[in-house]
Amino acid sequence: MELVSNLALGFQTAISPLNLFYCFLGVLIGTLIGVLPGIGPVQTIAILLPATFALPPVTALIMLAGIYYGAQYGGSTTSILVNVPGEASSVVTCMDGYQMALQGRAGAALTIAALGSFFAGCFATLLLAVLAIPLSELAFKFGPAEYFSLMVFGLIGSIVFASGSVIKAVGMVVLGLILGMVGTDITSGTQRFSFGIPELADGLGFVPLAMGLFGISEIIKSLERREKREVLKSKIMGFWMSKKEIKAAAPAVVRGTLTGSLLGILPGGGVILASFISYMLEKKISRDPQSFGKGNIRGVASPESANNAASQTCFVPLLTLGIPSNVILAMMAGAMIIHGIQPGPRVISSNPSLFWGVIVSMWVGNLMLVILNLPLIGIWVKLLSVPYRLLYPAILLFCCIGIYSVNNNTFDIGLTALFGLLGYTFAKLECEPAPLILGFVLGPMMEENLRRGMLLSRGDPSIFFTRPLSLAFLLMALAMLIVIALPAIRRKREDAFREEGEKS
Amino acid sequence: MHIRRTKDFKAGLIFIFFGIASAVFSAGYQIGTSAKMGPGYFPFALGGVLTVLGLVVSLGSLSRGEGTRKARSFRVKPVVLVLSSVVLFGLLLRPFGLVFSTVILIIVSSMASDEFKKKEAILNAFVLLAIVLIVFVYFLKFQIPLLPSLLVGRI
Amino acid sequence: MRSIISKWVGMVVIAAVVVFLSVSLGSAQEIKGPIKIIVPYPAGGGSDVLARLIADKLKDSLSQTVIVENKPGAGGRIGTEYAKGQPADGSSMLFVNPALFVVSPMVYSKLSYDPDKDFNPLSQINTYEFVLSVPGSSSIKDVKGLMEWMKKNPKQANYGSPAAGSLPHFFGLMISKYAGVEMVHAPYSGSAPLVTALIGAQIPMAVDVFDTHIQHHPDKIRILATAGASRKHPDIPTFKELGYKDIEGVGWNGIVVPSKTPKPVIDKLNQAVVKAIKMPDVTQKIQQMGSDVTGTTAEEFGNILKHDREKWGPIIKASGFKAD
Repeated sequence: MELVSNLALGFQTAISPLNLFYCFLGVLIGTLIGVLPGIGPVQTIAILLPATFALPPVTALIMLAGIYYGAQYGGSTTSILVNVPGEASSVVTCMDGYQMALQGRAGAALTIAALGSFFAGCFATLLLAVLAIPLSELAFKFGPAEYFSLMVFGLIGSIVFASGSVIKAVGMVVLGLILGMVGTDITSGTQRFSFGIPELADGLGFVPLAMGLFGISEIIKSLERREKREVLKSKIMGFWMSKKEIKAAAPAVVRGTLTGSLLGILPGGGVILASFISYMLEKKISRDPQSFGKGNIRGVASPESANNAASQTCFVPLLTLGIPSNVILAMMAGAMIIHGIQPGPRVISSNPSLFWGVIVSMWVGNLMLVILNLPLIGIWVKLLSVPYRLLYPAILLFCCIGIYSVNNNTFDIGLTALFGLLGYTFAKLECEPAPLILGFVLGPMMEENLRRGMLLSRGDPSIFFTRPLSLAFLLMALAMLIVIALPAIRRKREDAFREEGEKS
Repeated sequence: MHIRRTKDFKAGLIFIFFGIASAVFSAGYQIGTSAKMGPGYFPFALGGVLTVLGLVVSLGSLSRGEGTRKARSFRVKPVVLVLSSVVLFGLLLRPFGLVFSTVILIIVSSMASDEFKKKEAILNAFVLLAIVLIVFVYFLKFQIPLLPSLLVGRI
Repeated sequence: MRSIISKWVGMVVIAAVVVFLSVSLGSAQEIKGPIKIIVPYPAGGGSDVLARLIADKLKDSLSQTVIVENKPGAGGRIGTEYAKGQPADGSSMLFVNPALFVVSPMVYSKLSYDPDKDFNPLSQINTYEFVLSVPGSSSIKDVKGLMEWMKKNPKQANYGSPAAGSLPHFFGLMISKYAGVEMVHAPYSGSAPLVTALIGAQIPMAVDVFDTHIQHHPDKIRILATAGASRKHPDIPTFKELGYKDIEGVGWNGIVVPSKTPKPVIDKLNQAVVKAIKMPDVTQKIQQMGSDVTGTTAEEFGNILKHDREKWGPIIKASGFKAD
């Protein structure tokens, strides 16, 4: 019954008027920056961090956390409406969400994104409360071999994203891997492909890449053809989902939540990885994988639940051990230090009201988000009736300002234009950008862990096969490869039979 | 030649270009051994793989052609105007400030549309400018230069 | 008795001189605000937190607006390059550390700034010691045990550090030289993944800064030794007292100003900065971060820079490490 008293303490903290207010302010700002393309929680929290120093520590953390998971909520909105990912983790949502919008189902897509996120948020909060400490052990089980094999699994799976040519998808993955190599190499400290440009020393930014490949290239494509946009305007149907859609989406939400909760705990690209891998799994276990990428509601429900679950469980290592698993959490650790709280394993016992208050506030925040977002859906959908000629300059403007504010440099804006051109060219050549993005995210981590593993084993590759968890990932990757290859082989054989038949 | 084929052919060429570029530059970094991989090892290998993939895609497009999907019309205007509005914004932001570069971005990018109307675009620019100033500068307190830097120095 | 009196007289004279000097300089060298402390790292990081603590106090003592400006990128090099072009009138200060002012000049063939020509030292703020740690589950209990273990298992003698080209990286090489075993260096992308890997015993040992490991000591991580001049923690010995006389590794944060900043301005800023970090609440917060307040004069900081380059230079050169 310790849990009950802990949660009671958490509630006491979280629903004090001050904390309630800042929680609301946090999720409101989070939703706003999530909706705005290019502006993410990283730069917002960096800018607002100093302002929170005047608040009590628990209030500051509640607000900052609210901004973070609020942004995951809002991030799906522009992905669905205009194919511009509002947040890094919403890239996947573009694929089926935007297609749904084109079919007049934007309302349903936004609704399932909000409800799925809410379910995921509630589940992840409960998980945090009950299992935070045992879960934190999961990260320790992951050595270089496990990470590498997980990345291999993710990369093989990324081919699933391809709805067209498999070999071109593989090429896009490899190109993404190469683009991910730009910048300072972690293992040797050497600058690669940076050509003496200091802005490239930290690598290509994810935001310019995603904005260019998805946002800018989509705008150019839309401007080329006039008729598509009329479809959008004329066919906006109800906001609520049909029975069939609910039936399809509900299990997808649950699967996405579970996948996201687990992947969120891993340090590194947890949240982005969560949305990609949950989409992959969803498509793979579907009886009708062809419908993905063409407006399947499960392709929205699962990744949106996953990224919200992950954005909550990624607090596990920070709250239980003081280990921040990404940049945003590192900033929150900084906020704790400034308030005189050393993040670490002792926080639970020395500041129980902070620990439990923040956890419970996440549930409260999720409730606020769903109440805030459901009525907003109507407004967002109406936004589509704004003439496109007024809408797209606004998207461009928000993208540019957001990209500038990540590092306060204009170089990234030029880079975005370059990726826009590249993305547009790829679109013309029917090469899909999603596998490239996944390669870009996974590549550096994959290389880092491969090299670290080989260094530590002194060149013995058997570590990748002898460690059980690593082996499991590799076997899963192999299984996936077979599943991908089989239909292609079968189709070839069918073609051959047909030709035989035609001849006779 | 079928359109599908030229698409694959060009995509293959892009892969080959990036593959060779990656391999060539990586060769300049230390390659190392598989036990102690240097910074060039991974990108060099990837460059090779991408080149091969590019060759397969390109050559495959030559050997068998299928489908004759129409190529979408390629139009220069949206590409050039949208991209240059973004680049201009980047170039003008530091020296001339947010106010000026926002107006330029909106007007130049609006011209890319077939339904471009001058007055409407200017109005749109000022409405968006107001939104940006309220949301980013006032509410979120982003550190962005607002006015031309020369002007600020003088005041 | 006489000695006490002469001490008193001496102190009064010194105090009078100090007061006189500071008053006269204060009136002559008014620093035009707003003053900015440039932090070449993102908000919320260790440097940023320190800079904000100081900025908060400088506001009152200099009665000027003091802001912290974050200019992150390229491991701090973008912000440093930016700072060298700022006005040299006391309105710009830059937060630096050994990575920017000791290591980078040695490992980059082309660096966009020269620590000596483009900047003048202002004050060293704090120091933090390096530690050598093993996982809590490890059978190794002390440095001697570790040395024996490495001799027996030279193929497993791997150590992790928070980054390639960081001082802990080179500190590990220092230990390797002493041990007579070629320890393989496995760099991580920061302290967080390094600590995770160490707790999970994915690597047998790690070199990092004191404060990231002490919170897990002794359960999840066992710190074998600290690398400062004296004990940092009552239960953990220093390398020195264990007989490894030359094994010393200390990192720091400091403030520099653009090189043409006039001497009186430097002195005035130095006094204000030192006063700020010696305030009890600031000192307490810095100590909570596991580091020690120093607050040196500008000259002392210059000497520390020189000493550090002489000390680390040969090790860095011998490692063959190059960043570009």
